[in-house]
Amino acid sequence: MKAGLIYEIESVKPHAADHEYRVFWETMAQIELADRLGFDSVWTVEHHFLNEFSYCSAPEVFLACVSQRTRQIRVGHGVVVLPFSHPVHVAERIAVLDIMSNGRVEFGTGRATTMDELLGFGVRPEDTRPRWAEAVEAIPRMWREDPFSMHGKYWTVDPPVSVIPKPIQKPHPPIWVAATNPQTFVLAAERGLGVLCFTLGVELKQVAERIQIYREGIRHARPVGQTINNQVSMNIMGLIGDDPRETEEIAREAVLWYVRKGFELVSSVAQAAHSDESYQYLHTASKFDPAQITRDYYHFLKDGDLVAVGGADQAIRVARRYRETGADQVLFFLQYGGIPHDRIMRSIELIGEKALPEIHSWKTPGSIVAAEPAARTDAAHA
Amino acid sequence: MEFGLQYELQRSRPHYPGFMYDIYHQATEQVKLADRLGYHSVWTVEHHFLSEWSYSSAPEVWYGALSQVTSRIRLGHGICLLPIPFNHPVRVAERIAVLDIMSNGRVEFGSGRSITEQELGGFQVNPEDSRAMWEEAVAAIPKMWTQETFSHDGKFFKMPEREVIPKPIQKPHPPMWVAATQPATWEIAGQKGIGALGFGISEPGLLDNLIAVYKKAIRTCEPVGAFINDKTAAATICVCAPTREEAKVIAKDAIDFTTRKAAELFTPFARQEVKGYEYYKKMAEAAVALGDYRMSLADLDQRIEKGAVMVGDPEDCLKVAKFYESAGVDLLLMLVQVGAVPHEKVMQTVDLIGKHVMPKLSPSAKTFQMEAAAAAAAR
Repeated sequence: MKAGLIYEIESVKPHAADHEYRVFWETMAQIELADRLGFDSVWTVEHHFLNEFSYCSAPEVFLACVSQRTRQIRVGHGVVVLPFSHPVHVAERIAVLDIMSNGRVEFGTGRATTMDELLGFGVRPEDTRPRWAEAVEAIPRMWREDPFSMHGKYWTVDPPVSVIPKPIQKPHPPIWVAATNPQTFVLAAERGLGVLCFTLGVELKQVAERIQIYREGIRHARPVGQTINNQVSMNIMGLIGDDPRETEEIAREAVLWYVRKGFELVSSVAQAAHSDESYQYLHTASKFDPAQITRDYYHFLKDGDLVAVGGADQAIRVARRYRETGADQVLFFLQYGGIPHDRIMRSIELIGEKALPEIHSWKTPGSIVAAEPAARTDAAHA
Repeated sequence: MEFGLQYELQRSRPHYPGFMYDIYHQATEQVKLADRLGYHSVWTVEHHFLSEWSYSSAPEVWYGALSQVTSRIRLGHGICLLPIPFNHPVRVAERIAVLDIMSNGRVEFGSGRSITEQELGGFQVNPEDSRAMWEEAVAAIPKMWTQETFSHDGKFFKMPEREVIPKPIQKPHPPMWVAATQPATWEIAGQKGIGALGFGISEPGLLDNLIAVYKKAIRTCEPVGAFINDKTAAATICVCAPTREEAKVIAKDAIDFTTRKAAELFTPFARQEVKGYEYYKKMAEAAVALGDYRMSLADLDQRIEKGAVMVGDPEDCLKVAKFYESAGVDLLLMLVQVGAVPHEKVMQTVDLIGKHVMPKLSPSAKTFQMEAAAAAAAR
């Protein structure tokens, strides 16, 4: 099983004058440590306007910085919000990052799940999924077709162009999609995409069911790329420390802060009058009253093995539970709710030294395989 | 006058497998050398689809990488395309801010509107709108940086009140510039109180007039940013070698290539009348009239004497640099990686200019050399 880190790049109030500068450079130090300790990957979100929750509005720049301060760790977009950028420019950015990182890019895609972001960019909720679908189909074509043209609903590229440069990973970097919504597991399977599961608080039994649906679906994939990325990645929120009780004290409040803030942000989409059916799953979230997210909720997460808090054994334990659901990769989410930098560094150290060797020794079902040319979407179109 | 490198990330044919990788990694090595030698800045275009001419379609990513392998050289977008289909203004503000944080405040923000039909057409930008789109974005971006919240109701984009985060660390914000190829843009740069990046200048003699226009306009400017960036830059091809003969041999094919390729890039504008791009029609017509012109080595000598190209031994290059300095240019941008000039010859140019030309003219290079000498003495 593979293990990595995932970042929102959060900074909780009260804010010092240089808080943004500090959080970026602290994150960098954490990633450099993870690289030395043999973590497989680091992923960053793309979020806009979400004060406190995420300062990672230009991950293409930050990951490029990471590429020069690390040697082996893979650099993942978790995810690029496709409705907010021209697909040509996304293809170009991924290619340049692939060149500069010596082929370490993982290309995660998504469509945004907060109203703040959608309205900020003037994108209607009902358009996000078709925009994503159009772009995720076009981008791998830009990498293999020269000249390239497209006639989509949202983007037209004609006369044909050369999209340059090209990524150096052949046939192209692995492609993923963020899945919060159970239906996205189906969409991912149909397109031969890996799943980056960003749910929090979904019980493991349900996770296992979704993964099973994905594995069945992907057998009939019509891949958008030249590979089928048959992999499922799960996030593990947590904090690992030397003193389990003290660690839990710190983690509990931070987890609750994050959960409240997260629900607040995503519920805005579900509550919005013009929101789209495809966001209905967030209605469950919108029914949460943030005030009701108390210690009980924390214990629900803890008891359900949905967070890894305590000693390194907890990291192994929760990762193993996710392996049992059928996942191939876990991403530790350690920087949230104002947890201090030194605690995060220690967590990374403990996970790297004490949990990684065991997690790495486990076999998992998924892998990246070359797509049969006949199954590819372009062949289907022809 | 300061010295900077200007990159297209160019490579003329013939190509070989892996050449795109080499362009990026070789240019990175060149910039690292420039950083050690005390160059003021490195600048990079944003171009799309222009095979051979430029592989720099995502300069923000290359800059992220450069920021971590250099320590003092400034990182200039020369330039970032602002019409919305290329880049949403919010995304530009965010990217510049993150780069400013990660480079410890070394960003220079140049912008423009795109001057080839291939790019405008590829992103479905109506050429007649491109200047207005640039104007709307260039006024909005500094507000996103300096205001806690920003909202906008313009012709080309609208947004409700939002916090655009993070903020750049240079206060009030990174210096702003605009690409000025045609004379009218020098005036616009002055009117908006931003620096003028003079591209496509065929010889320093033509600069006096452009700089005069700029300086006049800036006296009564209405700055788009929170401060006036009263600076001019000019770009020239530069090949420096121990002897003029060697430099000429290296430079000749590259100059022929850029002349021919530039003509080809602008030809679509020669075929039609496009509002706002009349200047490029004239340029394209002139270039087309040249046909398959190839420069002789004697022609190149003449151009060196006129200061039209910065090619030759360090003495030749110093002379050309002095032309630019006497014209009043604040920053000389040297295109060192042109055509198919091999990496080691580009390194040679960067090295010779940095050691033998720059210290004679650049105030910061002098300081840098003194610091370096003091450090060596201390060791």
